[in-house]
Amino acid sequence: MDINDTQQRVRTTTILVLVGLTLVFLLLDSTGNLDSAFAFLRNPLSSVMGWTTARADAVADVFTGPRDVELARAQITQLEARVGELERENALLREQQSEYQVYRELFNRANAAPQYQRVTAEVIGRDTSPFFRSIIIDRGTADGVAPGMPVEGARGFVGQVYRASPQSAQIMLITDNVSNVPVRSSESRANGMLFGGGAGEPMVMDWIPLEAQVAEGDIVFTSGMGGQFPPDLIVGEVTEVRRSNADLFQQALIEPAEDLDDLEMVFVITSFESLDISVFDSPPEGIPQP
Amino acid sequence: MKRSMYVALPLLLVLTVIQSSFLAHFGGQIGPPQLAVVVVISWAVLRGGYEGALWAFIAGLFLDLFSFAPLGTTSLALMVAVLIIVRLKQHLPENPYVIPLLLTTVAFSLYLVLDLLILRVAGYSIGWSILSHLPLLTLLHVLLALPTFWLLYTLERMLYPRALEG
Repeated sequence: MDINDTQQRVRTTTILVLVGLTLVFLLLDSTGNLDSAFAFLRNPLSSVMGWTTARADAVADVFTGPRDVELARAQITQLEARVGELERENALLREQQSEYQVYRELFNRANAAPQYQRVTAEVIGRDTSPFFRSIIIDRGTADGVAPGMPVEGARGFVGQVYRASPQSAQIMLITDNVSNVPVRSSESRANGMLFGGGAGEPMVMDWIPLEAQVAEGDIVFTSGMGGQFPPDLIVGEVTEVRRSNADLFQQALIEPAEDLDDLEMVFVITSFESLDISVFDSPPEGIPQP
Repeated sequence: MKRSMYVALPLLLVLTVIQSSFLAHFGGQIGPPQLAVVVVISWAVLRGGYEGALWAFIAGLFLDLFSFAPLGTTSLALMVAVLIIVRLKQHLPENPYVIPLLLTTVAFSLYLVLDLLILRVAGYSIGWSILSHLPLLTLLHVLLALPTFWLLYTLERMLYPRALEG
């Protein structure tokens, strides 16, 4: 047998083995069987990424500096006008808030307001794929972070923990394709489901009842439905409403409250009081079991 | 081949960390520059399908480690893309400037489409609309391939020096 043929055969076999391995990895990871391996591999890299990110911040500031100054001047003018408007609005809201506070205190007299426990985390990495929107933070299971926990930024809700290792965790952002969060509009109180749009696409609040009066500028909050996320975390603002009488529901495009491309610090909510849905665990008495 | 593997492991790991942390600041809406992918494609153009596939496998695993994508997705897409362009290269005339750029264009586009297809098959509901960014993404990465290819060509000459004839 020619030595070249043997070499070629070995190479073909190696490539086939590698393809087979990738398929095995794909299957294992899709079924959640590789989490411990991820933790083992990612842990030593977390500190390296933290260092690299810190250097990147400094370089990015140099590159974006001059543009930001011009932008900042324009924003100052806009913000000054906005401050006056907000001060008037604030006075009105304070009055409404004091009324609301009375009702709320009456309603929740016996129950103290739930106090969320938060863990502050630094963003040390971002998703390497152009198809996904996720970040990596420098806190993990050693700090009490666990998959499913909600994550918020300084201005609002940003996503949830997808995978956690002892020293780091991966956060699925609300703009990711596979993200869906139960939300509520501030003005109409209409409930809906917020779907992430993925790369370059806006988030869509769907399943809003047709009769609900959702308008541009409405603030959207988490509704707390399902108990996975705490209620009343700011998610974003309605930028466009898509309504057709031919459809069963209307949709709204949502701009996130937080600049998700520029996140540096986030809070992981490690403990919150979710809605009690245990009543659905067992059927009421008298109803025959299927 | 062994010599290139000693280089591939640390090089691709460092590139992945840089891509996930440092370069993420410059990506914006279309994500960070896929430096590791460009390096793999350039190496495959230089060294052929076998080494290209090995580098693709390693780079893919590292990239998926920092991604929401299931492990193996990027490896599979990149390996197939690399093997296709190496086969394609055999039918193209020799040209040290145009052919590498052409092959990078084809490989990068193929990689993105295959990656998307695999993710959809794996059950991820990613819309096709993302492909509207494909021309811009490809163009940016082909530009990135110019210095990358030159650097890797130098590296290849160091790892595999040509014997003098005569």
